[in-house]
Amino acid sequence: MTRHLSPEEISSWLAGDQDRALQSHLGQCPKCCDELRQSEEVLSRFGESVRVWSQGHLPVSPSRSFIRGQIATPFWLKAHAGVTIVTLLALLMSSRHWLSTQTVTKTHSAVETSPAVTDSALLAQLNRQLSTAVPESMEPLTELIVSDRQSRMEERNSGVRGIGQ
Amino acid sequence: MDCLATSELLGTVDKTASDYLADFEAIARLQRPRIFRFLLASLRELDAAETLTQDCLFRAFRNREQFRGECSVDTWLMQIAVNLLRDHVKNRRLQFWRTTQRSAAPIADLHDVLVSAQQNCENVAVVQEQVRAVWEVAEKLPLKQRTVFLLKFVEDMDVPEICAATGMKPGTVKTHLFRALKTVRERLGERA
Repeated sequence: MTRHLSPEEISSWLAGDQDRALQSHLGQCPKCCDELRQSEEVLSRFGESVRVWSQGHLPVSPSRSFIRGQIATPFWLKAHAGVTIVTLLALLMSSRHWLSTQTVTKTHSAVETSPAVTDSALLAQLNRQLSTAVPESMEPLTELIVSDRQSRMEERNSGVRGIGQ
Repeated sequence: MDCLATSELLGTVDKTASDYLADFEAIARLQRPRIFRFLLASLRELDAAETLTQDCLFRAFRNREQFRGECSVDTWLMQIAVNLLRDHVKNRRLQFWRTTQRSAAPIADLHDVLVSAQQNCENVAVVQEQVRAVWEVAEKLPLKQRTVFLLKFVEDMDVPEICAATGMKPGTVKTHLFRALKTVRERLGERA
C-alpha cells in the first residue's frame, strides 16, 4: 500500500473497524502508526481526565444503605405518614376539645337550670296556695262544711225515695 | 472480575431477603461511581447526575427480578442509566422555557486534572490543549454519538457491550462512533 491512511480510515479503525488491510498498512507505515497512536493517546487522556474529574465531584456516599433510604421508607411515604399523623392528632385534639366544651356546657346548663327549676317549683307551690279559696288555717272548717253538705244530701235523697214508695 | 462478582451476587437465588439486600448494596457501592461518572460526563450537571444515579440504582433494585443474566450486571446498570439519560434529555428539551439555573459541574478545575494526569508527557501543553478540545467537542455531540463515545473512551466498553447498553445494533454503534471520532479529530486537526 503506497498511500497513507485517510482521516476516515483512522476514525474507522478507532471506532472498531479494524480490518486486515489497515492492520498490515499500520505494520509497515510509521507515519500512520504514529498518527493513530497520538489519537489513541489523546482519547485515553480524555477518558482518564473524565475519571479523575468525576471522582472529585462524586458526592460523599449519600447513605450507607441507599436501599433502606429509598425503598423501605421513600420520601413520599414518610411525607404521607407525617401528614396522616398530624391530621389524626388534629382530629383527636379537636374532638377532645369539642367533648370537653360539650360537658362544660352541659354542667353549666345543669348548674344554671337547677335554681330555675326550684324557683319554678316554689312559684307553682305559691300559685297553688294562692289559688285555693280557703286559707290553710281554716281548712278543718271547710271539711265540716263538706261533711254537713253530704249529710244533707243524703237526707234529701232518702226523703225523695220515701215519697216515691 | 468485578463483572463476575456482581453477576454472581445477583445471580444467586437461594438467599434471604436481607442477604439479597446486602448484596445489592455491595453492587450499588461498586457501580455507583461508574454510573455517576457516565451521567456527569454526559450532562455536566451535578444535581441531575446525582439524581439520575440514585434513580438508576433504585430502578435496578426494583426490577432486579427482571434481570436474566444475558449481559453483565455492569452493562445492565449502564443500560438503565442510558435510558434514564435519554428520558432526562427529552424532558429537558420539552421544558426549554424553564430558566432554572442548573448546577453545572465546573470545568475550571479541569486544568489541574489534566496537569496531574500528564506529568510524564513530554509536550504537556499540546496534549492538554487536545484533551480540552475533546472535552468541548464531546459536550456538543448529539446525544447518541456522545453516549457511544463516552461508553467507548471513558468506560472502556467494547462494541457488543455498548450494543447491550444502548439497545443499538453493532453497525449503528460503529456509525455513531465513527461520526463522533470524525468530529473530534477534525476539531483536533483545526487546533493543530
